[in-house]
Amino acid sequence: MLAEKKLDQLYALISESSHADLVWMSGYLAGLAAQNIPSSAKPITTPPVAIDTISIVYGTETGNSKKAATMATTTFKRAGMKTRLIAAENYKPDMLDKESFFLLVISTQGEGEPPATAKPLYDYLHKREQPFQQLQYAVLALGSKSYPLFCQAGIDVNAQLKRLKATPAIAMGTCEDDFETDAEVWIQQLLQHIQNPLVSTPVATVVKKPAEGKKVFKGTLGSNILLNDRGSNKRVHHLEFDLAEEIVYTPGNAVGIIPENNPAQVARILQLLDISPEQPVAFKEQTLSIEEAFGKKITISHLPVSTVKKYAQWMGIEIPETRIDLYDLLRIYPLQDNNQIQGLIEILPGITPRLYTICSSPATHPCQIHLTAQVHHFSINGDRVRGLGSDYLTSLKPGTELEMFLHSQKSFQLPPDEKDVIMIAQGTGIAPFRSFLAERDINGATGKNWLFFGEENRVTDFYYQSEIQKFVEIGTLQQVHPAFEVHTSNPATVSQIVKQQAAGIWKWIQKGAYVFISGEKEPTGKDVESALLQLIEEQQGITTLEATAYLKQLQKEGRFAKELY
Amino acid sequence: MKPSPVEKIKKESNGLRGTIKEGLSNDLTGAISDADMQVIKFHGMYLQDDRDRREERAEKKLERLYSFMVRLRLPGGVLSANQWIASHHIAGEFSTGVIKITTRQTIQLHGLLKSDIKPTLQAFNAANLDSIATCGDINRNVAAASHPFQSKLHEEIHGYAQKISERLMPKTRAWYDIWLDEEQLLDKKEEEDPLYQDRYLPRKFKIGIAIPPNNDVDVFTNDIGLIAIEEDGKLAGFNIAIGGGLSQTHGNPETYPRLATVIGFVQAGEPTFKAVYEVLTIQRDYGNRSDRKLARLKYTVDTYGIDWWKAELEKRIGFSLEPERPYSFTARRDYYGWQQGQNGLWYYTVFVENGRVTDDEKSSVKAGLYAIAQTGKTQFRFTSNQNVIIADVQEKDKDAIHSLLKEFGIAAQTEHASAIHLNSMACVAFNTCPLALAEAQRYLPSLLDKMDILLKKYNLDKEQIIIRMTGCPNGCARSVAAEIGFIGTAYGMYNVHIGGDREGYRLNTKYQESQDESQILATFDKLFERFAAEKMDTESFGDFVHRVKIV
Ligand code: SRM
Ligand SMILES: Cc1cc2nc3c(=O)[nH]c(=O)nc-3n(C[C@H](O)[C@H](O)[C@H](O)COP(=O)(O)OP(=O)(O)OC[C@H]3O[C@@H](n4cnc5c(N)ncnc54)[C@H](O)[C@@H]3O)c2cc1C
Ligand SMILES: Cc1cc2nc3c(=O)[nH]c(=O)nc-3n(C[C@H](O)[C@H](O)[C@H](O)COP(=O)(O)O)c2cc1C
Ligand code: SF4
Repeated sequence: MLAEKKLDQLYALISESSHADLVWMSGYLAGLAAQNIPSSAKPITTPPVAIDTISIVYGTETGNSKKAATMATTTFKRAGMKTRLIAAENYKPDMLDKESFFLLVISTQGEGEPPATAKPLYDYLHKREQPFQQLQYAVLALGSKSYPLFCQAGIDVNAQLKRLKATPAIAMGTCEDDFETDAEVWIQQLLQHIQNPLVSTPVATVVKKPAEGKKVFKGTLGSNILLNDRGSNKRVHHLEFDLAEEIVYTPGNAVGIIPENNPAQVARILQLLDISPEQPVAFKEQTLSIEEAFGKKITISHLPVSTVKKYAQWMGIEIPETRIDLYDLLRIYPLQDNNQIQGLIEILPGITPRLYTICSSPATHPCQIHLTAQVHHFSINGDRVRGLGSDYLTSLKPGTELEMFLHSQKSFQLPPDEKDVIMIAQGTGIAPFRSFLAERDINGATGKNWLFFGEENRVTDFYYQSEIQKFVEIGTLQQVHPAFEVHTSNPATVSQIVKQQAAGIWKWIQKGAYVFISGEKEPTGKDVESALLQLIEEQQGITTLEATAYLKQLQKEGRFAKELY
Repeated sequence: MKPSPVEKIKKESNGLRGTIKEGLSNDLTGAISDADMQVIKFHGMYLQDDRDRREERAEKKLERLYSFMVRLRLPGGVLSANQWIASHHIAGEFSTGVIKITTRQTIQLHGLLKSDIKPTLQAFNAANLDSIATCGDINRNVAAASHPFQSKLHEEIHGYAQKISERLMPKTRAWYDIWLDEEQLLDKKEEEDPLYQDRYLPRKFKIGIAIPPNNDVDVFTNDIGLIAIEEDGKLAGFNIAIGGGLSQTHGNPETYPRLATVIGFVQAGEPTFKAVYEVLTIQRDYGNRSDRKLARLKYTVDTYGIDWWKAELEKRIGFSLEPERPYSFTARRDYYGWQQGQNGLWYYTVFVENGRVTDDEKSSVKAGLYAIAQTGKTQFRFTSNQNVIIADVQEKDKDAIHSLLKEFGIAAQTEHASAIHLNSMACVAFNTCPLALAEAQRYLPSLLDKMDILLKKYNLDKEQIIIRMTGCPNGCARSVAAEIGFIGTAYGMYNVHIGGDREGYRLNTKYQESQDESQILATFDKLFERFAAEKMDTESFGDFVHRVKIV
């Protein structure tokens, strides 16, 4: 009960207030009580609007954003709200004008890019000119601090929504690698805001983690072997790193490595800038020579669009939205003078890590990490060039010390020992399965194993052939189906062999087998997946839709997982 | 005694089929099962791997570089121009490209990948060529005197080589149904094989036919040697010799090389075929089937004795052998360059070092022979000395052919090679032969160059010394039947044998063990010096070291 003096003041205030005022005050006071924050706090200005349904849209590559979105859905449902959960690829952007509340959960892929499934929505928001009449929204961004453009996709969409006059309910949330905890906290804050919008909510960044990203450890390169024999068109290397300390990882994990830039390219840029390599610059709270900064820290080739935009804004000039090498950028849109160099460096992102799946097994190769890396080739206006990361990694000399961090794919994990496993690999996709087999072998796993492996040339490209033959001899591997195009009496791709083996695969799946696909996404990954769908459809005699649902279900249960890149 | 594992494999091979078909489609490996390895020999192929590449492939975690060697069945070693053209293309498309002329008058291709075997054999079949029974425990390619110029019996003798080869072929159609996808016969009766049954022979079996005075086929090194006896211009019949074989196993005293023993004379025609056939049935029934090292006919002959053999053979053929008829060999060589045959046609014997038909910096034998074949004006005849004869050339075409021989450096290579190069042979050995202990065909030429220097030093460079090298004691280039034999014991090391004669009546004797090149050259520096000083005018090196009891 209030002291008399206070009571008089209250009555006075009430007597002067309209009914609307009273409603407002009651909400505000309730809010204050709930938050017990100092009464000096000024209410935030967002007007309370009736929320009909919350549309929760997720854009995901490996399923994390979907998980986070599902967490949100259940939370809001429990709080008695209407929700709609939709995958970005199924969301029609023109719906946005009808939404009363729009929650977007989106991860970042590639070098600060949105997941493929969210690209249309992402582009729509960038292209749209006409502002929204009255759209409340919130963005939850998933990402990883080990990437220079942390949660860039989320940042981008958030900026676009602001530009289009949509109203942010609360500030964008960002989630680190183990996103669940971060997501949980942010979702709770969003819920509170929706329940009593009048109360200002502290910005939902989580101070649980240092900004360095994942734990970095060092490995010393023991051997670096080209696995392809003479006459092959491929260049796939087997690398063995010795670790000073035991690193805890599970088969299916990958490591990230940060490549160094091509020195020639660095020299070209320094020459263009006409600046001494020793010139000190600051990058990420660290002072170092510009040569080292451009050589080992900063992305200088194929700059992301977001960076090019920043540069344009900073320089106050027009630059078409494209990816471009730093050299060309500075050549075509030169700096006014070298005093701008520090400014330039502030804009440029660090070098993006490249992931390589571990092909060793913790139990069989203690204190070691083995990788299977293919030299990636592509062509820039005619001439064939090598990918930065794969070229750097596969060119390393034994004895070199390399920093790396663990990247775990929660979905891509060995099942319990007694479960059967079907492994479908294309090229370097064999890496996780070498780890699987070694691990299951040494653990005496009772489950059966079936390996599909596809490459070009049977004689020159059969990665780990002698090891695979050993696994067959000692009974660890029950079935092997290689698929080669050259030097075989049955030229075929993996997906074709998978089709040929439909009946057997179906038997295994029905008996509870786990199915894994690994390797390049295009075309093999996609082809194999559709081969599996077709197989389920035909063997089970169901519609394509049902087959898709069936496979989704397997995926949910962790019985179907992909590591495609 | 319990039979060797191979016996079981043969019996259970379902007419030499085994599981070859399944094996061909298994992409987990470029090899085939151990049992199929034995079976596929009967189809004329061996599973091999590139021994030069073993370490490198192992580091790459790849299995050995497996491939197959295929050996053609060419009784008497005759190939038509079109067949040579076909072989040239097949070699280029599927194998290493080198066409290897063997010491038994046929050709081999190496480096066929598992997936290439079928197309290769189908292409050969299209050229009326096959590889049936050129390997395995069965009668092999029948060798016959190669050069028509010395005898008008030549053509008739080649007829015998053909017939003997055909009569001693296995009855199974396996070769056709595996490699040509021929319908399998439902009525297995047609495959019943009175000669080989389901056991085949205990071991490989070889037949050679010589026409005196030239013993170019090395007739006494065969399981059965037939020596053609010509009487008043016609073929009377053959002296038949049995029990030849050259192989020996290092450190196994029970094994030894042996020259065939003449056991009598048989009339031409049926009696000859019958006698040959029944020698096989006796070996089939009495040969050692438990120890493959002692399974060749030569051991069966020594175990039971010549008299027993004669009696058993006469019992089976139903007539008695006549006493051996007189004959004599004066040479065991190829006659290089142009020779005119009794039939009036012309023959050019090409020197192909160790039988390797290929193109290198020195000459373009392969391209040249191809060009010559394309004229369609010749046949090709292989010799037991790993050479080829451009055969049956009409007088009018001779010049055209010769200008091709010149153009491709073949004439030069043949005419300028030194005497010992021309009279030498080396087996395949590395990199394909799994049994090789030391190099042979890849090494002998350079060793001969160095020995030539020594011979010149003592003015012996015209001496037609027969020098033969093999990478192991199996003796594929008949190294124990040479005046000088080098027999590999370890990489870079050879036993030195000397004292064989020039005609092929006498084997050589081991003179020194495990010598490297410098030791070898030092040895021959001394031997040649003494030979030059003490030889009687026409005495051969082999006869000399034998006479003065150096061995
Ligand atoms: C190609 C050839 C040597 C050459 O450079 O020309 C050859 C090559 C091989 N011989 Fe031979 N032999 C060849 C004539 C001979 C001869 C000489 C002859 O027959 O005039 C002999 C000695 C005479 C004899 O048979 O005793 C000979 C005695 C052997 C032996 C020992 C047999 C024995 O009695 O123990 C073996 C090993 C075996 O059979 O176990 C053998 C085995 C082999 C194999 C197949 C190795 C193997 O068993 O895996 C060699 C294949 C090497 C390769 O990569 O090509 N080869 N082999 C000759 C093919 C002849 C043909 O066309 O059929
Ligand atoms: C989970 C996961 C696991 C993986 N596991 C493996 C593995 O086990 N083994 C393996 O070999 N790989 C693996 N990868 C792929 C690997 O991470 C790299 O993506 C791959 O090596 C290519 O990287 P890079 O740096 O060589 O090529 P980049 O330099 O990144 O080039 C990639 C693409 O970018 C474009 N590009 C780059 N630079 C330019 C330019 N200057 N101009 C124009 N276009 C340009 C080209 O289209 C090029 O194709 C994995 C990836 C993921 C996501
Ligand atoms: C190839 C690859 C590239 C990535 N690039 C970035 C990036 O540029 N910035 C970032 O913050 N996170 C990046 N990440 C981390 C992911 O966004 C993070 O793992 C997220 O949890 C994935 O969520 P999803 O499963 O919904 O796609 C990348 C991950 C991968 C596999
Ligand atoms: S002699 Fe020995 S090394 Fe030479 S081919 Fe015959 S088996 Fe091979």
